[in-house]
Amino acid sequence: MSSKVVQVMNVSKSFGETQVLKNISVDVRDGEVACIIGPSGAGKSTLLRCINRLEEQTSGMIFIAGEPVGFAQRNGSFHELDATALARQRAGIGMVFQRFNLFPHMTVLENIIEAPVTLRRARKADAIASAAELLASIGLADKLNEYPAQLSGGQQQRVAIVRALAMRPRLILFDEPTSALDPELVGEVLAVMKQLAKDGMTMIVVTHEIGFAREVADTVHFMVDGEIVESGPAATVLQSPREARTRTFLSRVM
Amino acid sequence: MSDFPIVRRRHPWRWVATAILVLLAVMLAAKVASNPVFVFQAVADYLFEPRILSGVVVTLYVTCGSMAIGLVLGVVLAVMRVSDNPVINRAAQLFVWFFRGTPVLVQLIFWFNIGIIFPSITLSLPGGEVLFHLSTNSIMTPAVTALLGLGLNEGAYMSEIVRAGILSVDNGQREAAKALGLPPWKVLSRIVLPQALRVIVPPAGNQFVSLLKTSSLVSVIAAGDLLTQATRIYNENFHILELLVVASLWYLVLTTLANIGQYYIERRYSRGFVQSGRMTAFSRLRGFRGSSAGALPKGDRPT
Repeated sequence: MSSKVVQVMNVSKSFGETQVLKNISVDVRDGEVACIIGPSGAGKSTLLRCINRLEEQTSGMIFIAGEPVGFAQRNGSFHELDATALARQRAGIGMVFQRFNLFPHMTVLENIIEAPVTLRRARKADAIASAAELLASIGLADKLNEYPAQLSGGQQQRVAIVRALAMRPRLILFDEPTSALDPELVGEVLAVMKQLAKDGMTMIVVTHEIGFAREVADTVHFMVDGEIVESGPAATVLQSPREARTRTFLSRVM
Repeated sequence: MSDFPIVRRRHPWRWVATAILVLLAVMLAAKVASNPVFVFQAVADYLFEPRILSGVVVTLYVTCGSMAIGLVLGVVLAVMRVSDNPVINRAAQLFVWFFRGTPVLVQLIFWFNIGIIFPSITLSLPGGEVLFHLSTNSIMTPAVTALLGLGLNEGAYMSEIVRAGILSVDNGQREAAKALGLPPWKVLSRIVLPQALRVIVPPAGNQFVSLLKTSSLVSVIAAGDLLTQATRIYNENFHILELLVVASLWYLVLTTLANIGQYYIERRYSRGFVQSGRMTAFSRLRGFRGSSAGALPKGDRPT
């Protein structure tokens, strides 16, 4: 069995009185595609955002490649990282957002090379070359110098995936990547994600696309009310769910 | 059958309004022209008088200088205002409260007389060795006072404009930048501020135009600006109105130039944002239709 890239251990999260994550533990192996499904308000996105610390969990710990996210482990205790050290950690975790969040004042190329060049991960010429290569691989080679507003939603989301890839992340988090898209544009984004999965990228995907989960996911986690109700191999959870709540949800969305 | 002859609607009231306004303008012009006291030749004589021109230069550098101070200070204060640190946050709030809450004229006179309470500025080492010693009055010349007074005041106003700009940037932008691993300073300087500028530039341009005229307040400390010079001249020759007209003409020239400059800066910072095309009087004169999408290639507009 391959090594664990992500370990979520007993993570809880509250916004004031409301507990949105209740003692969640999940492991994701290297190269695994894990889909998190469930009704809205279940805490799926919050869990995902805790993994790169866009949200801070109230208790519990998340490890990526054995390193605690947002903390440094010294003498048996966890010391909270400053913003710069946290940024360095985040550079290894890609994230793709529901609303793309491309930088509107930059061209497609500038969007992609911004982080690698600013963080000195690559020389500018190399970053441009690899950005062009990545764009070509998703059929957007001609959009290099366009602004995000000139692209369709599907094209923007594919650029957003390339932007995440340009940092050569250890894993990529997808937060409902197709939910903001017109139905006819969903396919092109899913196709890029399928290719990524085939290439062995570790992916955690919060999604409503049960079809994608069935086809691509290795494991599926079903969340309701801040808890993971059922986890397991995609085929098992989606074809013959053990829990009644999973069955109800699946019958509604399929 | 394919012919639909159309008779356009007429606008008789436009002609009536035009006639009335032209009549009023002619009456006013006749009244002024026939006035024996107002000397038109004086306006022409003094428009390019060296002292007036030097006043224009002083007004320009006082305005640009205090705007520069205001911009830098405004960004610093705005960033302090959006910071999580409560002490820094409160300090910025206090500054803005004070400088927006007192008249800039009072502030100018105050800075000009600061020498009364702090006659000298001395920097010395703990051992007593004096590094430098200066008399306050030798530093606080009218020009420096003008820059300081207007600059600090401008900073207070600009900080609110910059803060509004920062708040206008979608939080998703900040999150995307953070998720890519950009450190806080880069998130601000590369992602948030450039987008905030789009919102900041129009009111900042407004501030600049306003400052061009507010800078005339420094005539109370004889800073040598346009109004100071006009005042000096009419105190010699008593052509009060003529020199005020000269000064006003120059202020109009400067504010018009500022408006044109603002148009181009706005266009620069709305790259990538799609808005309907905007025309200014200037671009209309040149028959040029500009738009935020000016940076986008023609015929390739997003749908």
